[in-house]
Amino acid sequence: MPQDIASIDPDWAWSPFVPSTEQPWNRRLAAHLCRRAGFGASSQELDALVKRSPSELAHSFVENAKAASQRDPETDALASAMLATGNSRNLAAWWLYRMLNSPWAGDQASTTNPLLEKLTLFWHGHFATGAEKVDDAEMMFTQNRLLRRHALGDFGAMTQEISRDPAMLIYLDSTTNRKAHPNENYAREIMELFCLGEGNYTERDIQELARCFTGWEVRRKKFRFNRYQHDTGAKTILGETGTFTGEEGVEIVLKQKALPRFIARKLVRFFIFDEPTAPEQLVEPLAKLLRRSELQIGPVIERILASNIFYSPFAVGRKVRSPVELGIGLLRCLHGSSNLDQVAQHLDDIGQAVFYPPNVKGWDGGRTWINTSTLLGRSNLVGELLRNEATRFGGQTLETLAKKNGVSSPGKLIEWLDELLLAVPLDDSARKELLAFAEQTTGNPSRRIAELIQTLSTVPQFHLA
Amino acid sequence: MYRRLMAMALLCGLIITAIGHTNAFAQPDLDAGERSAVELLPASCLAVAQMPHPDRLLTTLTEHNVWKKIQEQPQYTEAISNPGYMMFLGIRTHIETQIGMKWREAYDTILGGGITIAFEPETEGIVALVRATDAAKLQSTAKTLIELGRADARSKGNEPLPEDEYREITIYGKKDGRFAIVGPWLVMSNKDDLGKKVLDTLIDGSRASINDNEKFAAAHKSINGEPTIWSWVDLATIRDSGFAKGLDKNQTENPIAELLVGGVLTNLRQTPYVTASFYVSGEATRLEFAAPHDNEWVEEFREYWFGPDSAGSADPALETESTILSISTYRKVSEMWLRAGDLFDERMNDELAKADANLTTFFAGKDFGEDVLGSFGPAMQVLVNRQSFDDVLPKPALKLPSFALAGHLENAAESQTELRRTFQSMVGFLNVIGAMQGNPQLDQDIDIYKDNKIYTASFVPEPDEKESERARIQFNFSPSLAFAENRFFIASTKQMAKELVDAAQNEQTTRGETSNTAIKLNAEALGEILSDNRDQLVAQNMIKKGQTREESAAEIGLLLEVLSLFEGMTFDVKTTGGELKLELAIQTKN
Repeated sequence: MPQDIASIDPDWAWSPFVPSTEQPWNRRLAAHLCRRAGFGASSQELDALVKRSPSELAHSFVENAKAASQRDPETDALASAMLATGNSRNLAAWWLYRMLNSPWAGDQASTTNPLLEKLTLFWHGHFATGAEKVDDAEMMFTQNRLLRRHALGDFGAMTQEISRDPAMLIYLDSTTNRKAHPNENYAREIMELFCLGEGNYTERDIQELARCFTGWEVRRKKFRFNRYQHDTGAKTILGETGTFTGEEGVEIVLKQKALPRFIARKLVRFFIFDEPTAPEQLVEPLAKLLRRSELQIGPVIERILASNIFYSPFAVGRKVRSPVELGIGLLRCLHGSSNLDQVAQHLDDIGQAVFYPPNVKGWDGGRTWINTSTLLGRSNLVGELLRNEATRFGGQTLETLAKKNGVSSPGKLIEWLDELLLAVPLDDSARKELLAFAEQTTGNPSRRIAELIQTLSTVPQFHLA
Repeated sequence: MYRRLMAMALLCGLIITAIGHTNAFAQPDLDAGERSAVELLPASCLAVAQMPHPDRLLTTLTEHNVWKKIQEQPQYTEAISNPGYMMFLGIRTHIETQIGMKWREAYDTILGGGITIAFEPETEGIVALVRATDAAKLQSTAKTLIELGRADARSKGNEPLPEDEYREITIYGKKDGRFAIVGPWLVMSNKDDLGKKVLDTLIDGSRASINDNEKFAAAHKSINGEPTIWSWVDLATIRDSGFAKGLDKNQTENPIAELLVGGVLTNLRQTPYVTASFYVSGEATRLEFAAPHDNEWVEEFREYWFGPDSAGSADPALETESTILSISTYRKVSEMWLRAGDLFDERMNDELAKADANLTTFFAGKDFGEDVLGSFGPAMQVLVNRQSFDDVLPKPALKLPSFALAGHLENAAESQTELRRTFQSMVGFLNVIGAMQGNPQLDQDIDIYKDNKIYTASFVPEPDEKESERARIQFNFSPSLAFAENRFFIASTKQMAKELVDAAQNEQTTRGETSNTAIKLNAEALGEILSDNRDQLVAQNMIKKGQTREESAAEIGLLLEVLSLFEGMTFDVKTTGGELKLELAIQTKN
């Protein structure tokens, strides 16, 4: 196994992981897969998943997610009910409900899937659009459906659609774009943040691409092309010249060589490690796969989730849990349910309000999730989730859940929680301290378990994924 | 859990123990059973509450349809299968065996003669008098329970129930709570001095009792029917002693509170006493507050609330079958607005002055208090109806009730023109705001309905929204203004305006004729609108409790089923027969 990221052999990195005596396939690794591909898994789910091979799981996760993405969530009665109130804040609770209640071993008719929700969250951060400015729940929901529909599909189609998405255009102040004064906002963001990254375009490219988007407007919450305001003159974008329309301008951006590398690097950061920046040679095989598959996302995700590097020490425990991963992850692992309005509010307090990304760059992620104020907030979130009167664990108390999982002593409790909740096992001293704490506490058994988990949340490993 | 159950059992035990220990000590020869509870209470009592027939109350409750329905619910079955409840049943059976009576018989025997509780300011004590229907059974039961309680205390290493003696009567308990049994009476008090006063009356016979208090006697004499619980409070003495300082305040900072209960405060500042009567029957539960009322007490600035000679009367509510809530009241709002300086504090007066200026502008320079509110008659109604969307498209996803304000115009010919113009301005204003926010626009129209004009405005759907069954919330509204002779109706929908025109013509006068304020909630219509929005309620429940759809649907189903057991609720304020009366009633289906 390579010693550092810079010296990783890309062939080894992206080859399928084959369990061995040195690194057997077990519940801990299955838990790692579920944390990264979704938001964690309960003990019972891990029991079922560990019976299948890592490659088989990666393939079925992607196939199930793709199937779920094509089922129209418009029929989701919960979403309709939330939309009827017209409040985007209620939509956050709806999305958290999907994240929490999507089954790993879902039936074929399921419209929810943990990987699908995880990728939708990824694209929500990528094509960041904030409800505060859009101020319309229906439009935010429509964009969310768009992201979900294309989450594992054609990146090109997703980019074309998001370019005409009313919520996106409102967010980027592009509700009117007249030929006399082309609005450069969207042209800049599509190249800098959505497709190519800095250094792969010029200011002139932005100005020319902006001319392609002239005549694109939002009227009464719908996209409209005003042909009288479209600049029909010749434009030169990224080396190509012609009387391009907006769609043709987007197509030119999508054809750039920098695009697959840009997207692949973001996916590596999201699924494998926060730091350091992935070296070029490590990203290149994924970029090639993305280009070869005509920008289909699904095959890249499958390659990542089945790879050697995904199960290596370069990945395990090398990411900081986002607030959503922390909160929803805790509930999922403990088979929990809670008041999701309040959960959404708590997630907002520690820096991740879904539907409300901080700016057009989305959430920075990584180390930025943790600072002196959010660290306390994260521990409070854990405590609040465990003690909230609406919280149930498999419809029961924590004590009953632990008993169902064969937990009969403080030692076994720590062992069970360690495997279920932590990406990196506790070291001996932390384990001893927790055991001493567990043996000292008295009173209601559920409360004692809750106190132990909250104490566990003060251990650094708890915040790693 | 076991400890809690033991504590409950012991509590029952101690009460009954107190009762039953009488034959264990020498007792004076008393005719205690001949006196009524009020004859035993000191004349200085400030508050008295009586429940003459606790046995009847329990019978009514246990035979009530609502209780039977609750027993049919799976949650009830689950609760009584709980190990804690089973343990409680075991303990109860043990006690029943010891006292030789089923719990129900013990309850009826020991409490059957009534319960009376009083507060006495001199001692700051509370005394409770419980009268048994069978003194011998009371004593034997109490004796057994005292022994059981003491044995239990000893087994746990606790101090057994202590006892003392007062004028040859055994007193049980500690300083902050003692009891004694005298004939059929169980006397309990938290203050020794008060307990002794009652025992002295029991031993010595005639003494001045609360019955000699004129205010109490007058109130007691005027008891209406047979209340399950009746209580009396000597308000004059409370006021004179400096308590209830809040009643001295003339001004408030809350106009809504002033509108609702301003007149009640006027009464409470003068009335000598207040009574509360609680009635429970198979058909209804009713709580009635009554206080003597004299028109002389009404300050000039509160005449807007009572009307001339305190005879201001609300109109009969313009109810239809779909009415969920009706509030009909007598309030001369214009007078209240103009007397704001007397009624509200400085801050609220500043706020009202700003509102007055803005509203005067909105009503095209008409003085809001004098001209606009002054054009309304004092009888006003607010009505909330369930909407039917059966034949309507687009249907909103969230189905809200319609609502309306109904009243009379003092000068109909002139006022109608002003109201119509203001309504049209308002619709124009809403259209400007709506256009800025991308909301649908209102289209104005005039409808002639049964010779009455209805000025209406309907939201215009987008072409792809015309047939929607999950349309935006705006499609709950079609703001309308209707006139019928000197009546006006400002309704949230055209349909409701028509319903009110119909109701006014039919002159439905089922209730409220003599009420100052009459509020009625119709449980059936409320249940229907909740059913209309069942999906929304289930979704909210899923989000708030994190439950599955099935669990949430079951919970909402139970809520609707419980609601279906009720007819509704009424609240009336009346000033008749020299009394101010507030009556709250909940009607059930039995």
